[in-house]
Amino acid sequence: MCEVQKNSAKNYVIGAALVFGAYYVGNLVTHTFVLPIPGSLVGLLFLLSLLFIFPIFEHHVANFALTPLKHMSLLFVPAVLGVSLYWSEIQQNALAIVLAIVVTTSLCLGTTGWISQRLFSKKNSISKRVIKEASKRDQHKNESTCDD
Amino acid sequence: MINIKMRALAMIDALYNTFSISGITWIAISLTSYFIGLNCHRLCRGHPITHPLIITALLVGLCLYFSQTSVLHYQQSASLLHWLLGPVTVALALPIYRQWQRLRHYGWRLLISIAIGGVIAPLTAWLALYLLDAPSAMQMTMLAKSITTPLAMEASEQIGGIPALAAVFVIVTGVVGAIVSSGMFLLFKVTDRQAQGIALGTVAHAVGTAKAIHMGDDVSAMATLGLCINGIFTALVLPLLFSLFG
Repeated sequence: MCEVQKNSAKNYVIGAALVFGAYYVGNLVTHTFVLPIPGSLVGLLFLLSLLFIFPIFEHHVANFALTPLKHMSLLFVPAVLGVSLYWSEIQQNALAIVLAIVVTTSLCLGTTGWISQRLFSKKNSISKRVIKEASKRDQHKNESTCDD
Repeated sequence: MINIKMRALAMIDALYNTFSISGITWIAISLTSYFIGLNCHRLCRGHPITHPLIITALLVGLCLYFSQTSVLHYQQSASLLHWLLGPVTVALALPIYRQWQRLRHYGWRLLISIAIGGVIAPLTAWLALYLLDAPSAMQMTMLAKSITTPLAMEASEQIGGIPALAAVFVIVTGVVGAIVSSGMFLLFKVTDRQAQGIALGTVAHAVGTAKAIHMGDDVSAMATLGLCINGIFTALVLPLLFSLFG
């Protein structure tokens, strides 16, 4: 029992080191090469390639990252409250914003779904079987999605 | 090297702010509000309008209002939360890695579907703002509305938008998308479950994906793929396009 716990604490630290390391590498790279891409995105791609080269790290990263990923919403609170600083701009453009968000999001949902349905209709019977197998596999993996 | 130093300083700064009385108080208030938000969300069986972020932001906002605290002061006190967003964005690599095998199964059909959704959603939203003469910072921000919040905030900052607005636009988009999705799928006669998942994940990002989880395993897997791929590509392509032509 004690052995397992010690092991998972070690994994947690390794996972944290990998994530924070990738974050700093990403920021260093965007800064050194003056890339127009967000530093965190470069860090993400760096960590992703690390996982492809050393799949063994998946376990460590999962150990650390699943909880923060699940509760990511909390981290947006300071940023979201900052919106009150732009309140007058929002009010002035309320109609445009509502139109842009409500109407276009609805239409795009429908259109995207319709297009992908046409694209998939030819391949449907095969892919349904594949997805069933894949979901079975995932159940073992304690699948996670980010919260936001 | 300066940037790394700055980032390291930002972390020390954030920690420093945290271990002050107002830092501890406001982070505790945020955590409590979030806990309440989570429970409300659970009680309402995950209805999109009770998204934990909406409830948390409202509760913290109320506390700020009644204690006469400025938002800037709160942002400084709770800067640790904001700073953590960077590393957690990096950790998104994990769900993406786990979806990779599935992506290879579906190949170009999936990629094209996601690409179409990922292009028309921001473009039509931008067009609406452009036609109605909204300020350009707002137009730029709207371009990032269909991708997951952390990437949207970073990408909008790169192209001259406003990260705070981006966060709000993204969440509202997700909530609206999740609410109207059933009606829209009926209207457009989208009966294929995979197509529904792709549309939800690509256009309504994580809130849509949360809705897709209620619709079944196959739907949520496709939604997660849409969310990940659209997020990465939009966050890559937007700043690149703007640095080339901007």
